[in-house]
Amino acid sequence: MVDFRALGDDELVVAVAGGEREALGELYERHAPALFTRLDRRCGDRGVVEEAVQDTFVAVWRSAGKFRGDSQVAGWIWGIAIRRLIGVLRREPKARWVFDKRVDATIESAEEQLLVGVEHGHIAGAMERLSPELRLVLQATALDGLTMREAGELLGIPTGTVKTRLSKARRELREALT
Amino acid sequence: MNWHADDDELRSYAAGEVADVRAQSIEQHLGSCEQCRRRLAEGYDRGRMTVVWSEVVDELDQPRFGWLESALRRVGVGEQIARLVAVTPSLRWSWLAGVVFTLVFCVVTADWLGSGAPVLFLAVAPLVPLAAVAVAFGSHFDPIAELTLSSPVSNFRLLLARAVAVLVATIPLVLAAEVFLDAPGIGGARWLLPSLAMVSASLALSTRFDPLVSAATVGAGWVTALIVVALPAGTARAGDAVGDFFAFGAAGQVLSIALALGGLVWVFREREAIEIRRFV
Repeated sequence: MVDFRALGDDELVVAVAGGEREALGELYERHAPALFTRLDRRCGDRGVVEEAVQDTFVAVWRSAGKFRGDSQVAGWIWGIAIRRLIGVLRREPKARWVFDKRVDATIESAEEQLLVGVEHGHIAGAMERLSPELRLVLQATALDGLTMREAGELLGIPTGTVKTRLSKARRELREALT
Repeated sequence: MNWHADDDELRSYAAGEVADVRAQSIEQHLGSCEQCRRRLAEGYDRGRMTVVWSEVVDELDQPRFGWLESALRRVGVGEQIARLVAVTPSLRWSWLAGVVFTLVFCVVTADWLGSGAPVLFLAVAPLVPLAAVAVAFGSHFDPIAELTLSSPVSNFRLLLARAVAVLVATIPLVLAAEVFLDAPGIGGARWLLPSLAMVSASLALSTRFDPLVSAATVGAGWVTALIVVALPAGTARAGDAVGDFFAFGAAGQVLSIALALGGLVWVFREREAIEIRRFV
């Protein structure tokens, strides 16, 4: 009897490829909460997010054999999850997230600002000054790892718009940093 | 690792209460920090976790559909019909490969035999769709015949669905073969209408007899007619005699249309009588 909780993520993926459902369960326990939370920030419909997470682990089950050890398991699963979210949104475009509706008014404490500075250096402050549209595009491409086309699908805007917003965001960031 | 998110912060992040830029830095951190991921997981909504996991398990337990079945379902064909069409014996690769092989044989021999109409092709081409439809309904070949019999789909609908699917799969193969056939004067897919007429006639007969027997009878009639036409002409002129056969002429084509439609009307009227029988 293997104790899957003692295994590393890489070993779990190998076990999943070998048909161990318990290993998939352990991966789910470890990664699903982060996926739920991160996807919830990109789509306001909890049902859609749950469907995407469900699809993600089904895909992990079926494609575990294709995972190459050269990247982090968490990053690999995230790559699947964000694309599954786009897939579900394609079926249910109404659930596409509109940024105006979001709660984005939390005031950050000084300590938090400090933490941001440590992780992101001086970029955080500059990011903050970007308009929400520009920030979203930057998030979808630079941070979430989507292509411009995928980002457009996620945000419900044409690829061309993604492109222009992205270059505008880059320009503003560069200006803020120099 | 420079820092770790504290528990309060992870909690408010999980609750969606952290502003964008801050959340982004937490997300980047979580992507590489196992420890923070574990702490986030510990406090996470168990109800949501359980529900979605049980859906994952359900989906893994579901049978996976073949390409044909998924394609049919995607274009809006009902679940039952899609499954029953997908298991049609004459849509299996082995069967389609057999059809291709037969057609290649006909085309190649026509080229070898040289002058005159391609007798073998003209004789065989119309029989291909007929045989495909017969095999589609012959329960001898149906691996799930019992299930087919007991499914709530009416036999008439199943008959039509499978016939259409089979014709869609086989007719292009024959048409493609004709393209490779080097026989001036006999192109234009003149075998098609007689073929449809025979399919329709055999379906009509199936309301009374076993589908295989019906198709075999119709097919035998076709072959007999061709022999009767070809024999008196002698070996040298047999090709032309077959090429001039009534069914390939204008009157024959019109008659074929009439027969095909008549057969369909008959099948529709007798739809209650259609049985997909089990013969042992």
